[in-house]
Amino acid sequence: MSMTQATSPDRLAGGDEESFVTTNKPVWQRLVANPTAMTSIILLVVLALSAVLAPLLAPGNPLKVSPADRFIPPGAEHYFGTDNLGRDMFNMVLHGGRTSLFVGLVVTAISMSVAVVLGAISGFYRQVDMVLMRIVDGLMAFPGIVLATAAAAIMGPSMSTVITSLSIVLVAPSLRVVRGQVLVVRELQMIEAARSVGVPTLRLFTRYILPAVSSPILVQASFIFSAAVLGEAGLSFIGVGIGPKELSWGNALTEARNYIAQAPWIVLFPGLALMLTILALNLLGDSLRDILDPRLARRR
Amino acid sequence: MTEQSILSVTGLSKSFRAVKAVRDVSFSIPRGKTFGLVGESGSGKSTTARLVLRLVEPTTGSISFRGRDLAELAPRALRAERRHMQMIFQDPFGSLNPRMSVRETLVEPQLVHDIGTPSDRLRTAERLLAEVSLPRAALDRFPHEFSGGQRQRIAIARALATNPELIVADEPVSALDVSVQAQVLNLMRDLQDRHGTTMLFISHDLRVVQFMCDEIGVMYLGEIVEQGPRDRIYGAPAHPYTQALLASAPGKGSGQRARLKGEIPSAHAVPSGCAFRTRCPHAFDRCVNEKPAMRDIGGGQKAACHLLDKAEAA
Repeated sequence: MSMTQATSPDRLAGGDEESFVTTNKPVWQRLVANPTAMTSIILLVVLALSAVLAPLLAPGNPLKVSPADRFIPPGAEHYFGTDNLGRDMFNMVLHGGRTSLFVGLVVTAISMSVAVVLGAISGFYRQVDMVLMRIVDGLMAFPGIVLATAAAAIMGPSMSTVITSLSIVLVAPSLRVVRGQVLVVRELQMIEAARSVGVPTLRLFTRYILPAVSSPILVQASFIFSAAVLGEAGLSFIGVGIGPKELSWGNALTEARNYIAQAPWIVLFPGLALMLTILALNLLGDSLRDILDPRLARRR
Repeated sequence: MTEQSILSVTGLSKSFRAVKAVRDVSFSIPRGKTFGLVGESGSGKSTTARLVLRLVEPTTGSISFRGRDLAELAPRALRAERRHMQMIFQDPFGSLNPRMSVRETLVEPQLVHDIGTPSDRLRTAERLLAEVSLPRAALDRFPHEFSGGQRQRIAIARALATNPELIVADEPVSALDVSVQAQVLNLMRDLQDRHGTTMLFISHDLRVVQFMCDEIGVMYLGEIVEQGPRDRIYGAPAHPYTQALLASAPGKGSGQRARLKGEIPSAHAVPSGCAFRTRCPHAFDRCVNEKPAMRDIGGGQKAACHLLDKAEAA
């Protein structure tokens, strides 16, 4: 090799070997150290467990009517009291939670999956983006409640109707979030480096782009979950939800509102369950955002 | 120059809307040699690097690599061809995927090009790590656990993973501390000697280029204004820009040559005639009206300057 020539030194003077740089704490450790995050996680676990274990904790048909036991206040016999038809409210809240949380979970799964796939494509292909974003604009301009009411009128009020309309309504804002993040990530040098290595497009999405946008997606998912639970309750409350034969927090509130002066506990407990769920989900979303993206953390 | 060229670029140009980033660039690199592109920032060096690898689509021109024109290749064929040409980037913090361990990072190029069995790939990864003098324990660590110099060595190892014939290095040491720069440069030269890799080396640092390159092209406003063997460029620079650039380098400069004044003009408004005339100490009428052609001045050296005509005539 004629690499070494007279005019240049054969070796440049070099520095010493550096040692490894210390690492940051992993995400879960920071999560445990965050009191808000831990409180909301514990609350959510309790709520989820009470829903899953409802048949054990509150056996029997929650819809069983018992006219003799109407309007019994909360006590040892009935923890949450009974309603206008003598149904046990503890039973109803636990079983109602099953429906509400299930709807929330399914809607979050569907809308986030669609948002991730379409958002990634939209952020990557300019032509698709043009079309897709106009559709999203249209969806966001259309009132969700009208869509849900129309869907209930056409398909009949049922759980699948609620899930479908909530998923459609909630996919638009999530798609925007994912697309925005992908637009940022695609400009990173890591992506150009991967392309220069010869990484195929699909792998570029799954191994480079999606992991990089997973944090905001997780945060968004927790907000979508709370919006879905609240949405289901709202739709059920105004009567275009899952229908009177099923039990949910929203349904429980619908009937209870007529007796709010007479037996406030009928409203209190389903309302409280709903409120705690939404609060926990929103707090979790906020603290996740603080942990995963310190730049957005609240300043003091 | 009897060796076979492995890379030969002809008339390469790139415009981003009205901005002519690279204009009619041609050069070729013999197998196993290093061609350096120097110039100030904004001279089109990095764009040229990306054009050569078709990370940026050229507006016009041809890139002959291993006997095929890269500019003509269909996406699938181009992706397959990437096995033979790899790139090292300036920013070792940005070019590695923070979510992939060193093991995954080094296996990735072999995986996507379907080279070897999983255990072969792992063995190659271990060998690469040793070649860039990182301990085996680094395999399971993530990029954020390394210093800049270490990261750049990981990036070099990744670039070598498919045993490419061409490596394009875009300012591979300018983001590193000076002491670490020397280490990385020594490493790159050793590896090049061992593997016989051809290299296109981009830098604004004249000393780095002098250390690394056999042949040098000096770029100004998207054009190569002078090109030739290293010793000719450093010993007998023919173009006023090359002369000024050398005079501006710290520790160099005889004091007789004019140093560079002002800044490189915007690529939006390239001066008429010779692009360098606005900063050239020797500019005269002809430079405004007529673009100087590249002319051979012997010894493999070429430059584009009207002054060379005068010298010839005299």
